[in-house]
Amino acid sequence: MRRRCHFVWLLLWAALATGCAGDAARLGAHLHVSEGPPRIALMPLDIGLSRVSAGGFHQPVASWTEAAEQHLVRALRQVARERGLILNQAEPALWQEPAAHQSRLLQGAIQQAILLHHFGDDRNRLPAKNGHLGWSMGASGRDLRGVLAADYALFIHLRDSYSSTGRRVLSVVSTVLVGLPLPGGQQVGIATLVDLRTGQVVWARALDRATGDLRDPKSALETARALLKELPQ
Amino acid sequence: MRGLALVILLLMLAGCSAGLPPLPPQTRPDMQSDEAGFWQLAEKAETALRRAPTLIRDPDLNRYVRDVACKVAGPYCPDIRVYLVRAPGLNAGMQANGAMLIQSGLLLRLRDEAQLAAIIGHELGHYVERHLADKAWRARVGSDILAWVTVLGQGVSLREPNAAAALLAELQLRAFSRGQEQAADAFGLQRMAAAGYAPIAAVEIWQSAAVELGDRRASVVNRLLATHPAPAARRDGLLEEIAALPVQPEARSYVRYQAALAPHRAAFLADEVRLRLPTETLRLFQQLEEQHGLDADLAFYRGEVHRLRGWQDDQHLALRSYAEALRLPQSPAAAHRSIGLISRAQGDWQRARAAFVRYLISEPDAPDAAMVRAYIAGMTGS
Repeated sequence: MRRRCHFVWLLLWAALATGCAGDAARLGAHLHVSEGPPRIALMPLDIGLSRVSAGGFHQPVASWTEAAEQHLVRALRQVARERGLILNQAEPALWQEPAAHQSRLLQGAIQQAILLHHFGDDRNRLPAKNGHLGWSMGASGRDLRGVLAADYALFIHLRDSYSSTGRRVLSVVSTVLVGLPLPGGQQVGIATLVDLRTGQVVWARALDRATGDLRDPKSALETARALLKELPQ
Repeated sequence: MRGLALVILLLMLAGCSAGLPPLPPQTRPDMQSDEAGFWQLAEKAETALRRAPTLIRDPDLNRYVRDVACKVAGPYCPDIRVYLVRAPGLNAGMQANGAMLIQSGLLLRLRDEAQLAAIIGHELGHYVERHLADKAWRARVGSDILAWVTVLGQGVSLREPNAAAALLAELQLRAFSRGQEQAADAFGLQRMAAAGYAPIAAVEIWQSAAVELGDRRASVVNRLLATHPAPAARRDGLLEEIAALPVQPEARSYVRYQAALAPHRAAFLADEVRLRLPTETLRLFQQLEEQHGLDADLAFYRGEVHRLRGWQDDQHLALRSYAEALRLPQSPAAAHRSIGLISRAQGDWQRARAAFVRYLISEPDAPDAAMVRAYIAGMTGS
């Protein structure tokens, strides 16, 4: 829907959105391998899809989110396969364990910190990090290793929104009257890869773009590619 | 002119709601509906809540509250899950999907089962009447109108920002929220009365809350901004509803409620002390003493409030409270430690040493035993 929007709108968006499509950082270009291809455990996705009303209210849409979870898991596994990596979904029953749940919460906090201090505005940079991707889950990452039977864990946090009809109409009116379109739907989030031997975040990629779709399998594949771009191999 | 049109538009909205009928028992919203989106978010939050370290897992207390909830909820019993969360302060909440949260601070404040039934009935009202979806609908429509008016206004060179309109929309939303609270109060009253509980119990909760929060009258601005009506307003609203009830049942179940609470009460009292709102907490403890009489735990924690506040008379008042606590049955050993701490600060080393020693004799394995021993060692020098 977003891609079929007004031409002027697109132009303006292109002007506004340059440079904010995505950003990646990693500690090395290669994953360590003990035997066979690296095994990556895909952690339960933290994703949510919503519709943006004319006034900017984000209405969560259950059916979209439910479908997107399935599309994205399949798409991520396909992209990993293409790159010769083994990506397996972590057993859902595992998350019933408080310790595993805590490690997921911890990684969520780390992801927010990386978004803010690594990919975020310059004034939020931490001088001591000196541009280095220096975040670790410590021992709780190592604890996960045995439970998951994997070398790495992939964590994904994604919020994806789509303009409602009202938002699009209002944006056109705004463009005509004021010369400024309203921001529409956005795909915002972060993917992190954790080395389970050390607990270290070895790769992170932030997405912040006005394109991308998760509501159908084909578009989800594009998002998966965007998310896993520059993932070490 | 345009501003006037906006005000009229927003005022028209005042009486509006999404118009959702009450949710029938054992019903989920349609997967395609907006409401389903809120349910999904609530379900994810509930999954996390089930593993939260702050959740009270004691099966006896949970079973007891669950039984009362089922009595009040009637046909909605299978739709409601009650989560007891360890946190001070008077609060409870309802998620869109039927997950009900009750804070331990609220359990401490409630006098009997009838009051608990009133709280559960109120929260059930939010669920059955689908208040969350309704309020979200209102917020969305309000912001849509505001956005349209802003864009159209700008386009025809109305330059001033629509701050006043935004404020009006926000105030309306708050008023709407207060209306929902009153509706939930009325719903809860019907349910608790139907379950045989004395409806006056609902009024008492707000009476006590008003005493605890103090008698300062909320300013006009605060009243307009509040999401919940003031305790006094809720009390008055409830009294009107009670007068209209066809029957006036009388069940209170004081003993059963206090027996269920008893194993946790000391911990909940300690949580209140940690809020560091000494004036309010002392008023709360005063009320608890009036309702249930003074026991060792209550006397001890009252002493702790004084000790931690540390105003002019507080050391004296704290010591008096600890002495009271130690005269009562089942006094906590920590009272000795607190006496020791105050005496040590006052330079009364002899008394401090004696108190610390008594503490260590009662609690040789206390987590802070090493520190207390260090205090004693530090005072033996002269």
